Amino acid sequence: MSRLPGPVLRHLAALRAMLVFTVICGVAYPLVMTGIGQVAFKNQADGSLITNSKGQVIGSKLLCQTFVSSSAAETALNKKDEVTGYADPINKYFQSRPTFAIDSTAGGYTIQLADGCNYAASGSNNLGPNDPTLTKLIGLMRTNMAAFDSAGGTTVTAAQVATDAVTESGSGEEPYITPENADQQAARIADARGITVDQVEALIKANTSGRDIGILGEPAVNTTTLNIALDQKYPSSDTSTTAFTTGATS
Amino acid sequence: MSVATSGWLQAGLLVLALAVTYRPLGDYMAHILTSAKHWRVEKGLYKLMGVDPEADQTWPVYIRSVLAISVVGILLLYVILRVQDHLMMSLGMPAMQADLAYNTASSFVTNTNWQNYVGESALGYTAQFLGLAVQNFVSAAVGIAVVATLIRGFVRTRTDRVGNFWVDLTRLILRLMLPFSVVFGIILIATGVPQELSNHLTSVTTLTGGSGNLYTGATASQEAIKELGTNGGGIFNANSAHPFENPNGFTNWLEIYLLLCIGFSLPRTFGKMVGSHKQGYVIAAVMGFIWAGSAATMTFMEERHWGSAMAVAGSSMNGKEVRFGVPASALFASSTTLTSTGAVNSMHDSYSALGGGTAIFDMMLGEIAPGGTGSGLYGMLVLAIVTVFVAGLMVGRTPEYLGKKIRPAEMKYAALYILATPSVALIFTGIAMATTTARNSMNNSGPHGFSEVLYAFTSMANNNGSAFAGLSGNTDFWNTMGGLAMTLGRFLPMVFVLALAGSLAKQRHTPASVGTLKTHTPLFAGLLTGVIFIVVGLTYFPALALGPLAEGLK
Repeated sequence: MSRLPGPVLRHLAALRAMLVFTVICGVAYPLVMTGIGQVAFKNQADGSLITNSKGQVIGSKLLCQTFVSSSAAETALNKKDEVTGYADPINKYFQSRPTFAIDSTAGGYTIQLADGCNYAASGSNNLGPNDPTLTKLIGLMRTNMAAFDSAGGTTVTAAQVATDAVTESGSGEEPYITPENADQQAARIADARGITVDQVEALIKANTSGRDIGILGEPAVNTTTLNIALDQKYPSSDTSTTAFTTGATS
Repeated sequence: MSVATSGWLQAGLLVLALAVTYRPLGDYMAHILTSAKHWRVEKGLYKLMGVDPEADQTWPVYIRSVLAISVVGILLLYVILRVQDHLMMSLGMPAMQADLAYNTASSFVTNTNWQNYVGESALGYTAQFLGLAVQNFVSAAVGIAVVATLIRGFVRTRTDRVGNFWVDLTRLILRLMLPFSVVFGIILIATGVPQELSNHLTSVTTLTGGSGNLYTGATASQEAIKELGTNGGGIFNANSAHPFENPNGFTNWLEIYLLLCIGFSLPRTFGKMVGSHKQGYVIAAVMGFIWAGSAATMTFMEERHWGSAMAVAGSSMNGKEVRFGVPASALFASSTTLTSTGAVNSMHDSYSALGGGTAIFDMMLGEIAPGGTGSGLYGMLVLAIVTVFVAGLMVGRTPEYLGKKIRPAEMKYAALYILATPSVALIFTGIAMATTTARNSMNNSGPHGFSEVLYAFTSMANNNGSAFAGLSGNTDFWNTMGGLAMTLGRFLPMVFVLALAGSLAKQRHTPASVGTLKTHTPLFAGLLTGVIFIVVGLTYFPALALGPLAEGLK
């Protein structure tokens, strides 16, 4: 060994060091952490999954789901193109934040609600603060949401629509909306399910998380758990959707 | 409570936590880097590596060891990524293509963690663990090892020895990175970050009857070292914006703390090792001042939300998460770009022109406030040397710093250090703008498109790794040039730092005289801050004017 030239020896030492650290940091560390997590915090470690009465996984309480027209929903998670009603939300569900994605047929960014919550590709539109397309799509979302949420005798104007209801999240997976956004959608939900706004508000409250230790983060309403609670407590066979303008020019 | 109040309180609690851990963490790192005693397990590891822990290395040997482990690291990681489809527990993910694997390997070995792939559909457990996790630990420790030699250069006299790389590296991983990652990783799991190893993706049937597969991943173990080691490479494409990486306001705060804590405590290590805590306070104060200024500027810009799209939205929430809101997003963004982390909890591409511009400027500062693990402090110390030199010019005497003369040799290394990273960032930006295929990767047009390119090479040359993510980086041009930029931006400065350390260590100690500029005073902190802004401003102003300033000031 010692007869080998210096640089070769050095790289051999480096290789042996890398292998040693691979065993420590690349094998032992993650396995120990997984062991601890699985034993001590099973629910969180598995991804805060939600199961239905049959034991099937119906989602994670940390991730959003799309609540759009059924034909679009079938293909939403697998992200198949050219499905009609790609942006048409179901009236009886709270809608999480919108998705602006490139529509290959329209040749640019359009509103595509069914494209959101794609568990295989998180991310956002990454459009800049002065982008003309983004400006247009946010404006369209304002009128879309105003018409959508003006139900059951309540009128929501475009200017009143909550800001998080017209902008995409950073991850595209966020189940959370602001309490203002939830309140704005409450009348529509009550109308679609034939219940009172107060009943909806009670469930919103039960699915709202405040700031951690009173100061960290912002209050947020979890649309995934909220919609599950709605379906359990106030089941409805109503499947009506509302047509959204998508901004496709072609 | 208003958004503004809670924003101030979050930042205040962060400052408090960093202040409380400054002394114990800094002293502990000094102990790691100076203790003569080896742990028994460490002695065993040295035998396995075939290195002599008692050997003190000269600076050329030390830097060659750094480069050797980096070359080996890049090759190993490249191979793992290329053959992923043949490895167990890869969840059926395919092998990575050659240019992307080269880019990713360079990226993780250089502590950059720029990612041109979508993590949740590109990498299985084996590549994440054997490949990325290992580099997250090693690259973070290498940074601290390099700054240790520079500090030793100030402390030691009339020697050509600057320390033992293998000992520094092993101790930093075993005694610092590993235990901290375990503790904070467990906290992250408890607060909602997944950590599981099932050999398949979880299949989900949603409420409306859609079905698909859910990637949960062994996220918490990666998340802890990703922040602690200022790495920044996420399991998921959306990085710390993804609810699995960063589920709530508390984890968000904790992740910001983790990515800042080593950087902000290293000045204490420095003060302890050079025998004057005040020297450490001065450096920490300058870091803190720049960090606070950046966080305040960014929060202000995002709250004001200038821009046509933001005006219609009524906020800067496009690309931000509701559970964090604007203040906690801006705090994360400025902290991640002032360190070499590059993790993001919101999409910087969608920030207001001047908010995103602040992120670019943060990286242009050379990531020194507090900077990456180790790299932040050595960047700051080089600037301190430039500062005493400038002050020395004013009064016409040979400048000294910590009892060492700053002679032409030292100044040459310092100047080369200062020039290396900006040269890479600006020349590569120029090349990209002159190349049609490179320009085609822009998601936005006009000045914002230029900002995407400028951000990319500034981020890669400074080993940050965050992006204006609209840029489609997975092309031949970006993978190849990016890999080059990251490697040059990492190792050129390191060579100059090691040379500087060697040069300083050889000197005898010069006792302070009446004419010596005192470097533990607020005056020096002010001078240092001034030099930082002048150097960076002069270097980068033209480029900034074409991008964020052109967009934000029109």
